[in-house]
Amino acid sequence: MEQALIEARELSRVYKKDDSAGVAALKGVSLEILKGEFVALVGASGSGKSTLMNLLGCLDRPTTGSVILDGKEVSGLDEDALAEVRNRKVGFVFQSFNLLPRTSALENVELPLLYTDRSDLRGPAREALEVVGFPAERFNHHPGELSGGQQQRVAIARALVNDPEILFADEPTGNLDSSSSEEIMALFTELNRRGRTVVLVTHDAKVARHAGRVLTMQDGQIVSDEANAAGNNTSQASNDPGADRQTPSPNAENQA
Amino acid sequence: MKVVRSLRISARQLGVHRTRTTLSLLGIVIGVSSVIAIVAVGYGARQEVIGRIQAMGTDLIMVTPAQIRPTGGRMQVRGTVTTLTLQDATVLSEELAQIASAVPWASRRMPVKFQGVSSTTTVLGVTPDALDVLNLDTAVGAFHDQREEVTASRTVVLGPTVARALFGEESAVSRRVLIGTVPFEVIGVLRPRGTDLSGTDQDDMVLIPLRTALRRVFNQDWLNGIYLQARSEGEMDAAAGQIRWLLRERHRLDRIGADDDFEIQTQAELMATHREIGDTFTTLVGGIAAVSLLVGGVGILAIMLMTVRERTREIGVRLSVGARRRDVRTQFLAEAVMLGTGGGMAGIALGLGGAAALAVATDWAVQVEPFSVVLSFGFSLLVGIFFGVYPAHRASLLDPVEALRSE
Amino acid sequence: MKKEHMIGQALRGLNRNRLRTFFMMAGIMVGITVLTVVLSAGMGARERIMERVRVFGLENLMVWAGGPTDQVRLGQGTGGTPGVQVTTTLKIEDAQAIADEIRGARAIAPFARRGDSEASWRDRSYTTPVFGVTPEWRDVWDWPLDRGSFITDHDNQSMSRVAAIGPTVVRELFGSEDPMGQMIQVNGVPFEVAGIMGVKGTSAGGGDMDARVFVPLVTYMRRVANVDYLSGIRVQVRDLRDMEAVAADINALLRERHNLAPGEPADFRITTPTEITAMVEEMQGTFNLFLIVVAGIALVVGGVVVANIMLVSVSERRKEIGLRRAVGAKPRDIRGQFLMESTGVTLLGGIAGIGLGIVGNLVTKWLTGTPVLLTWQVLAAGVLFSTAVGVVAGLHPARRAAAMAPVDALRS
Repeated sequence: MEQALIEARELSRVYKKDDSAGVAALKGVSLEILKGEFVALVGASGSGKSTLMNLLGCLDRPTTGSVILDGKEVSGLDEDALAEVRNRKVGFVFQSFNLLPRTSALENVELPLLYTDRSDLRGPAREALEVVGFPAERFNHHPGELSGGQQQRVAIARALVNDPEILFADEPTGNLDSSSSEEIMALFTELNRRGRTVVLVTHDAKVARHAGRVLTMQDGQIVSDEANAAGNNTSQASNDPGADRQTPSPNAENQA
Repeated sequence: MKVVRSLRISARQLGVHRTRTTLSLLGIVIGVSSVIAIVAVGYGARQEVIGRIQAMGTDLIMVTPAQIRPTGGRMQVRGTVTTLTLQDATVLSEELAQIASAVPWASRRMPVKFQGVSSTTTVLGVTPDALDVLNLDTAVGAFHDQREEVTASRTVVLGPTVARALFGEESAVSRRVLIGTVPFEVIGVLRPRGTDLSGTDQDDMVLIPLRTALRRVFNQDWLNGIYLQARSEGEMDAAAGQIRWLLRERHRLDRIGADDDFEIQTQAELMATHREIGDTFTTLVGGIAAVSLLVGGVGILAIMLMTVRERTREIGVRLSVGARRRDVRTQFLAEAVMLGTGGGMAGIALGLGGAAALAVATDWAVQVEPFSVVLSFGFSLLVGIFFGVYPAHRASLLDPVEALRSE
Repeated sequence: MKKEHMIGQALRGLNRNRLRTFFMMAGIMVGITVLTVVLSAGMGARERIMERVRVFGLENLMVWAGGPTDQVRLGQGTGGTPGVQVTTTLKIEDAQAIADEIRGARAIAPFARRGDSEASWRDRSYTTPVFGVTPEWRDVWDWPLDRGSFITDHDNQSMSRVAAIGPTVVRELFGSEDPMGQMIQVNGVPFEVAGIMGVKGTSAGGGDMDARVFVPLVTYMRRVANVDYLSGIRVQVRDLRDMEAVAADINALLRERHNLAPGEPADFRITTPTEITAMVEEMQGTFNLFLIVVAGIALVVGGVVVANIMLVSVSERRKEIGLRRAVGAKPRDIRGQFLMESTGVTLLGGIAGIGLGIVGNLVTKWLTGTPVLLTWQVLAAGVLFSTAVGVVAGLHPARRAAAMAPVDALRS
């Protein structure tokens, strides 16, 4: 079996306010994600899915347990090293886009490049925007002048510009209308088909169905981990007979 | 809306938007406190600066016998006017309120000898008060005291030039010298002062008790002059008038219809300089304070404008839920007044504190000028209120929709 | 972040919220404006005071004929008794040598005076000091001239018999009549009155400085006193700070000219205005301290305002900070960004403040008449301090920004 791209070992995250006992958003979660997988984390509000993704995406540190990315333990790294990981290895897409206001689409995509050693920021930024299908005539537009779907595309381009190993997305279609949602999900699908590992969080079953593997969470723990043959997956593990799979439901379709 | 409720709402608003309130307060506090502190420190610095000139004798009145024209120099005796006496000096200092102290003196040029070396110098007989009044200081040893004056002791304080001429680098204290033919013991050497304003070498003299000079050395019973220290510079003219009147009476000049047999002079040039420097300093401080005030006002204006722009939308909301334009204006006025008054008082406190701290740090006579407090407080309050209310007034005239729409 | 991108990022950051940027600029502008005005007006006022004090003869030293242990000395502002032996070794050539060889000396005024002389006109006479002088006398003593002309070089070259008399002499000899052009006798020698001196007043020792008759040096020496030596030389130094050095140079020069062996007592004396100099130095010290205090107040004000606005700015840009951290900015990148923004703002504000300060100078001058002096040091101080304030005031907010955890910052 190939080595996992990202692995969680006994992750738990406890939020303490003042002197109270604290709320455990995650309780000892372990999992492995292989290169090329398209994973969806689903669950009700408060189930811990966003918390888990923040930990996997190195945006937060676990209270106990560890995260291992590409064979290296990342949860114990210092701030500077962690920053490197966020810059190179991981790309994040947010529900509310989080683009810098009064800044052009191009400059927004350039943002991660600023924290590298590269001098040419324009070139890679343009390329990233082209990959996500963002129209060239809008490169200099500010977020206020773009639709929701367009803004999210910019956000995705930003997440991709440093060629990260994994793409994380937290409710990427949460703020979009249905047709934009479809377009964005098609984008993710295409990116995954080209080999990008994608992990997304959603409470929307329709969105989850694009993924080749669905992890369901409840009360800070993973309660089910199922393959979705109708979903996407470019990982080799999809051909592994030993994996736990459910038979695909008759209604599963590839929503493109 | 009742006034009290309005005030309470305003107060709460100020508390809620802590950052905005703090910034607005900051502008006023800074404007007021810096002006107060600057003026107070300026006062202290000015006193320091002009105090030094004062020490050179701006409050001195010099009385000399007439027709003895101390021509270009200090101790020239010519002619024989001998009517100025020790009693004159005593009477002047005791009876005239404007006079703080009197230093009668007599002098001659005589040789001072030590072991074959002779130096002809000015021998000055003075009373112990000369130390203070003439701003003298001993580098080594001591000056004459009252006991030596009263007993007409034969003690002398040497000027540094004479000390060096007679003794070179050795210590002169406790040595014996001859003044004329009279032996004296050296009890001290003066601190060097160099040339004075008229080019005279102030270090070329020796000082002995006045009585000793009159009785044992010069053999005269009249004075070559009296230095009188006025109580304050402002009283100099009055003092001079009084001195003239008193001396004329004592010398019975009016009875025989004679001219003054004495002359009264002041250090006019020194005083003029003293005054001019004081004025220059005052205008300087005034100018700085004015600029600070203006700039502070601009700062307050800027902050007020900023906060009101932010709150145009708030005004829109209030209007749309039924507040009258008048209510909005009252609210903002109340806020502005509270802000202005609170900030102004905090500014005064800070200004006073700052002035006190600077007084300790610099050792100057720092003093707060009430005018600066009133002016800065009043000005800042006015600016704060005007620029807090006027834009709000403008905004209240808008349609609620427009106000809500503004960014 | 690469350096070439840093400035661009900072500028863009400032541009994003122009209002806030403006207010930070305003804060430092206030401080720098006051600083500029304080320094300019302060230096102007100090110069004016120094001018006034110069009247005290601050920059002058005296060379007297006769050492400390000679029998009688002349020209000390006191008279000697005529007929007693005097020092005869100080010559006009000595004065010339000082003028030629001592670089620190700006002007030389040799003079001769032998006690007091009798000045008479018609049936009136008055005993008064008479000085033989050169034109430089007026400069080094700052002696005012009321009417007519003072002694000139030509007068000395041609040994003419002209005199400039002081107000007391005018009063004593002429009463209310016009002295100009009249012939007076000085110790029996006739002189024409060519000038009337202005009022100089009383000396510190009580002497009447308006009782003076000035005649050409050469004429005095040859015709009136019948001597070939000087009483003294007054020397004005170029720079107050070199006073002691110039005195030492003159001392060495004269000792050589008079062939004095080392250790041999001198036949001249040099005195400097130590007391007055000390007073003036202390005065300047106080002045400078005052300026520093006020400038300090101004800067603290500016810095506090900037720091406060920066803190507000940081807390309101949390999402941006969180985002940058999420895409890989290190804490030091964030710190650097905010520090650069604050420094950029203060620098721009500082330059604006200097401009406004120049306007403030004009206003001050117009309002109060205080002279203002704008030098490069003032400008440099403004630029330097605004940068320093930017760094210091931005430091704390910058650190706070850098310390934020990305997750918390992104939560809104």
